[in-house]
Amino acid sequence: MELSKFLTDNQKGICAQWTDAIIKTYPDEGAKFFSGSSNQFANPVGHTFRSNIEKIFMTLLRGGDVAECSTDLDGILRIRAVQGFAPSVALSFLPALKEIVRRELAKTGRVQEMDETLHDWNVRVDRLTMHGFDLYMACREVLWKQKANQLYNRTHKLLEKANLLKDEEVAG
Amino acid sequence: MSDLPRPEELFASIDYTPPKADWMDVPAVIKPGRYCYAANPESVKYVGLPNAHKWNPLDDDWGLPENWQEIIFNGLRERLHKFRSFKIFMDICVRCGACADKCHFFIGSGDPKNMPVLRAELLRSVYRGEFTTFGKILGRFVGGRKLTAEVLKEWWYYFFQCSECRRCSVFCPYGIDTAEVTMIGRELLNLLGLNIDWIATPVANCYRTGNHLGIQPHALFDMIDFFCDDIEDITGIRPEPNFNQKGADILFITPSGDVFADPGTYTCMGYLMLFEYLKREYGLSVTWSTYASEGGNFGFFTSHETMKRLNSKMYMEADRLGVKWILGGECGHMWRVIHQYMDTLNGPDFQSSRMETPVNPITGTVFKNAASTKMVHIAEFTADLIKHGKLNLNKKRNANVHLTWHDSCNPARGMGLLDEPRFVAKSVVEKFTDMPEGTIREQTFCCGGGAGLNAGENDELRMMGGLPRANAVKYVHEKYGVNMLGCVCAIDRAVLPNSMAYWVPEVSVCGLHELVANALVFPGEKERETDLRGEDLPGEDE
Repeated sequence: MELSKFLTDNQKGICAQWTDAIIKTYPDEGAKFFSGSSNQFANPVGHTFRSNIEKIFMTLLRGGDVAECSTDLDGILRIRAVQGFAPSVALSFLPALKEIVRRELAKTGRVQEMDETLHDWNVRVDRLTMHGFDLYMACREVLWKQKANQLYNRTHKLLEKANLLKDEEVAG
Repeated sequence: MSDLPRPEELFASIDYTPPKADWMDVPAVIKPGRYCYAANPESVKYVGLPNAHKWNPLDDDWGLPENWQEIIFNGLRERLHKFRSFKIFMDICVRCGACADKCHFFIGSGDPKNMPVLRAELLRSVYRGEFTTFGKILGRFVGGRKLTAEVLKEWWYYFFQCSECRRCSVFCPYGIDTAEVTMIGRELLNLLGLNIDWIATPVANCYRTGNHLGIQPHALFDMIDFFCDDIEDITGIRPEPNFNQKGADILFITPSGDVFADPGTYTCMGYLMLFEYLKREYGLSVTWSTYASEGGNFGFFTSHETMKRLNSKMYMEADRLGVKWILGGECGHMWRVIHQYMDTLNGPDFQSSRMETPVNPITGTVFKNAASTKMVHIAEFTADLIKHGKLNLNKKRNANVHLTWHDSCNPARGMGLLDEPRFVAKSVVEKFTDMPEGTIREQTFCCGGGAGLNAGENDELRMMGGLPRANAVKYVHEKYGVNMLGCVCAIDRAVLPNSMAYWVPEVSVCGLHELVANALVFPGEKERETDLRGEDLPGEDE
């Protein structure tokens, strides 16, 4: 049995566990809510986690480049980046996929047999994790830029009002 | 390869498991990004509020007076007696959970103490434990607890994580208004000097100079004059607004944010152009005031008494100038104060006898809904003008705008202003698409920064709280190409641009009257090349 067939056959269960790896980082009541309603407007966080996890998994499964996961991964990490998690916790669900797959595979007793392909799969998950780190940092950069711009604009306005700027600086 | 460490071993040092305990046993951990800085004691002192002192929410010692529990108990007792609604809200909740998943902060964060039922329970549990016989005897068994310093800190943290938007109250089968529980919670905290500075200093500014930003009369005049310069450059028409004009028919009051911060400034230019148009075409007599220069009322987020004091200046100024009625700008919570609290704060007895039930002098429409407050929302006023064909509008000037409408919480839920802004918007833009049901009108999602929570330091909270709104905007952007989010609230215009920049960067934010002014055609105006933002107008064939 090839690993890809195993992953395809067990896609539903693996995605559910992978989503759960995100959900379990929230307090019980929050986790229950995120796992509940599938309405994308009433439960945007839970909906994004579930649907994007499935899409990312499908992309990995068909051998696509991790960059193809950008939009879906960004959707999840954009949420995680503002929820007060330490970066390691915010991204912890990504490497968790390796353990989930290994655990499921172990149930079939064929881990050793697929050691080589499992290694390749793990490398792909590692790449996804690193890509996720870039996306997460880009989100945080937006927030810090907003803070910096706010301070810059406030100072600029005060200087402008006090006529302490040259014309070209006023225009800028 | 089998020698490689397993993933769970590699990440064993990362603790990502939240505490599994009853909510009463999970202490509040005050996190940067989710709280606002403490009030400047000078601001607290300025309006005579008690226990002004310097303190830091991150410190263990908050500098509370020795008898702080007695102060809270007396304050709570007084309010249970004074506000029948509050007493009922404390007693009748059956914890059905209908409100639990309706708060934007809970939807975005998953923090259970942001569930409205639990946020109210923070206070209700103390009421039960300290004020009811069952609670005193059975304590935690009946959901009661004692008031400790930790509980007080939890109150502070979470009552300043509620934007008082009242979405939860729409779903409560008993009609419990959790925003009013938050209001009382904040009043009690104010008895100990525990306000946040983003509320306390605007309150002091407003009390002193008439507006939250502390803009002095000459500076307000200069700023509006600066807008008139820009309008003249764009249209060739120079507005000549009146200030503090005695004998004017109408006093216009708008939030000071419109004068100070983009994109509200474009909305302010819109008001100026509309009034100039109406003056030239129909002789409308409107005056601005440099004293009543604030529509917003951050007293609303402090205490009923402070709200009353700040509200009174609008009517004192109306009396001083001798106007017939007040026209209010695109503000949010100002309208909840006017519509829901005015009559018992500074009711008709407080108003000048010269004030009348508002009548649009151009159309003759009587605004019976404003018979008591004598105050009309500018969206109603403009909708009435358009309905009667009194404005010459060219939608093509907004042809590059595909608009969706954010129902600002207070005008929408607080006064039912749902269709008037849409009617005006659809009259001035060619492309309009509403967001999905459940995210607009009475069920609209808050921007995340209402009730004084727009301080720079709690941006993370705002981003979480703004997620449900942004999520709906993203949907209409991706599905229909929406590129502009309209609203009638100055806080929205301050909060949503950053929210959009993070969640849906392709969508901008505007006020209603910016779009009206872009479309408004003055007789004899020069051919416009740009909109009010100085951006090229779309071609006529676009």
